[in-house]
Amino acid sequence: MGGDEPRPQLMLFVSGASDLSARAIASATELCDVRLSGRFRLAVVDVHGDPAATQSSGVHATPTLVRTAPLPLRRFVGDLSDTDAVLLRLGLTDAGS
Amino acid sequence: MPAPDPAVESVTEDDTPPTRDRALARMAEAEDTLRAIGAGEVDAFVVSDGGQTRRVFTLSTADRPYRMFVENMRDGAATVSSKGQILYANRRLGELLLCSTDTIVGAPLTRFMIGAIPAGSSGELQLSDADGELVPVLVGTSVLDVDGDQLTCLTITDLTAQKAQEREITRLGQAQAARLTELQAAQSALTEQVTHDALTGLPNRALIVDRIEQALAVSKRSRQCTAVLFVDLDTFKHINDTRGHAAGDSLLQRVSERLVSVLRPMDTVGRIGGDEFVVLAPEVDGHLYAADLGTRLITELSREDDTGGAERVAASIGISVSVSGRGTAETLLHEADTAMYRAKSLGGGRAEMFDAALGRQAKKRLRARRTLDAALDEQRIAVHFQPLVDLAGAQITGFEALARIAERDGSLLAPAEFIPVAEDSGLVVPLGAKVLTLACRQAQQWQPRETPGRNLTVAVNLSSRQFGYGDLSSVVEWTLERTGLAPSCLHLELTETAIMDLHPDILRQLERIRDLGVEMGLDDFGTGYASLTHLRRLPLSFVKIDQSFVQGLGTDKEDERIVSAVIDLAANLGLRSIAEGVETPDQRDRLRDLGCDQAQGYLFGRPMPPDEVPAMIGHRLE
Repeated sequence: MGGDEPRPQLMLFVSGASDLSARAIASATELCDVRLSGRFRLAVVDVHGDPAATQSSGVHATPTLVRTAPLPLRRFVGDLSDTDAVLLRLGLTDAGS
Repeated sequence: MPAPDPAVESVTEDDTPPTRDRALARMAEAEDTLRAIGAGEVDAFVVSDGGQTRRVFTLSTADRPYRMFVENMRDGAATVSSKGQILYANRRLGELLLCSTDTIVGAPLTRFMIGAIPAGSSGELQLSDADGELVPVLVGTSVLDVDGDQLTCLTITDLTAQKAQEREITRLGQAQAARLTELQAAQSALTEQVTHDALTGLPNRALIVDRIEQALAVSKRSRQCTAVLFVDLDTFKHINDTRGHAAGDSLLQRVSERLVSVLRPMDTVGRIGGDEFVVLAPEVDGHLYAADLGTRLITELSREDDTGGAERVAASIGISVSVSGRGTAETLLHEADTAMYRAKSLGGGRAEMFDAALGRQAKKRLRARRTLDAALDEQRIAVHFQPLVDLAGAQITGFEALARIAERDGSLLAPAEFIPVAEDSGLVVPLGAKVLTLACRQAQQWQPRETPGRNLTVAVNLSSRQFGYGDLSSVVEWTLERTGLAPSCLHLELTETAIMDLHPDILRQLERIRDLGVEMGLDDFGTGYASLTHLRRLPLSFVKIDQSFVQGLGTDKEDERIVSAVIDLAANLGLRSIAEGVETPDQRDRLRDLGCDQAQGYLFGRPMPPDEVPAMIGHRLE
């Protein structure tokens, strides 16, 4: 671990290759690239394939976007297209400016 | 797909104390989630079972996805009609109110909730639980218009732990102020003496009783356990008598330091009498943890002292555990005291649990779990193979793979000794994967090169737990690819209990495994609760007749009728029948006459290590 701050990261939890998954991945990618100017790393996790990561992040429904670093965890469930609402819930409101 | 992120793995929010911000954020999340579900923005649910098993239900197949989510929320949830009547309450709300949800539904909200907040906003209120106690909560409301009826949805977050923390801070503040005043009056020593033991500086009986009561109050709702350990030194009187009081006092001081060194910051050690100490461990998982803590304290005390104090200290420890805050400080202390006397009467230097049966079980499981952990770490999992013969052709057609643990002393542990622990601890998943790989790798090496039509099969047992972690079919497919074994050579055996609760998700996994070309069958048929409906719906190829029925063949008419019926039933369903536990030629002949297809048992060969198998293959039976 060391003393380094972990790089800010978002994790997107989706369920397989559904329409909602595809839309969520597109929204989250845009959110990271445009609104967060690429400072956050985005990881996409399929809840069917990665139970360990799903468990440790407390995800109950998909799609869910989780701010995993910096702590504490913040989650947003559902449609990610309203980026203002998503950023507010993830505690990243001042990040876009 | 990315590998699990280690930074995420190590995060558990629940380790940190609750704060108002965290509670607010959690409530906001719950509200967002409910809104997203209502708006159809969610396509799957992840449901956990005691923090262990997690299953994913996609919306198209979930039975009651909305309800499942709301039921499993960490906060209370309720729906209230416009007249103030509770229409729905989730499990957590029942826990907060200490009564079943059945008694909540239909009652007016005002029976449980004191105070009111405007619909659509949120605020702090109090619940009145079944014992008449008040529970501080944060309540969020949102109004839904369902067919013209105004329904209010409530999310209810327990603030007990947070309030307790706030009170503790206030109390500490007051205590500090009081102490300062008394310092001015040069009386601080007297205050200290009221709550602390002068010799060791540890809390005295009065203070530890108070701390236990506090711990019980908190665990009543956190559903955690509170452990109290009564520690009594076996050799103290002797030292005091032979070496004087100064030596005795110095020993007590060293013991108190050692006890503290083993404990967590949240634990408390008190000295309540001459050589009697009490350890309070709040918020623990249960009896297993308490048993482990007792053992650790004994070990620490009996450690050779390298700082000049030469003697090892033997102690007797009695442990009592309160589940969900049941009992009082006095009953817990009394139980721990009773258990301590038993430890003493058994020779001392040991820890005993108040509930003898539970204590034994906890210790036994602890030992088995350690054995299994170490065996997995040290690659000491072995697989033995028992031959399976074709009754018509009297030839070996394959083997059943049976897991063994090689102990460090060279002896072998049989599955009955570690499978139950493996199932309970979830270790059966890595264990199962390991056995599958070893069995497939061996079986691949034994396939005959010249006569490809005469392939040998290997049967591997599956645990129901293995279906709970992702898709088992991909594990099977990957193992076959890696070992090079033909799918048709692999047979998987399920137990009746594994398929009793036949969830659509498990059925899908089984169908995908069948589609790989792997055959599946039901083990120990007749001993469980498999229904005919299940037999028809499952993608099975064979059933194994339990040895308890086979053993009665030729002597017990009832067993013979059962075996005959099972063979006929299997044939009618298009399944092969395999008899287990065949020990005599008579049993073999009878099975053949009844139309049984295959058999295994000591008559044909015991389970054997892999190096003995090649000699066995091709060996024609008489």
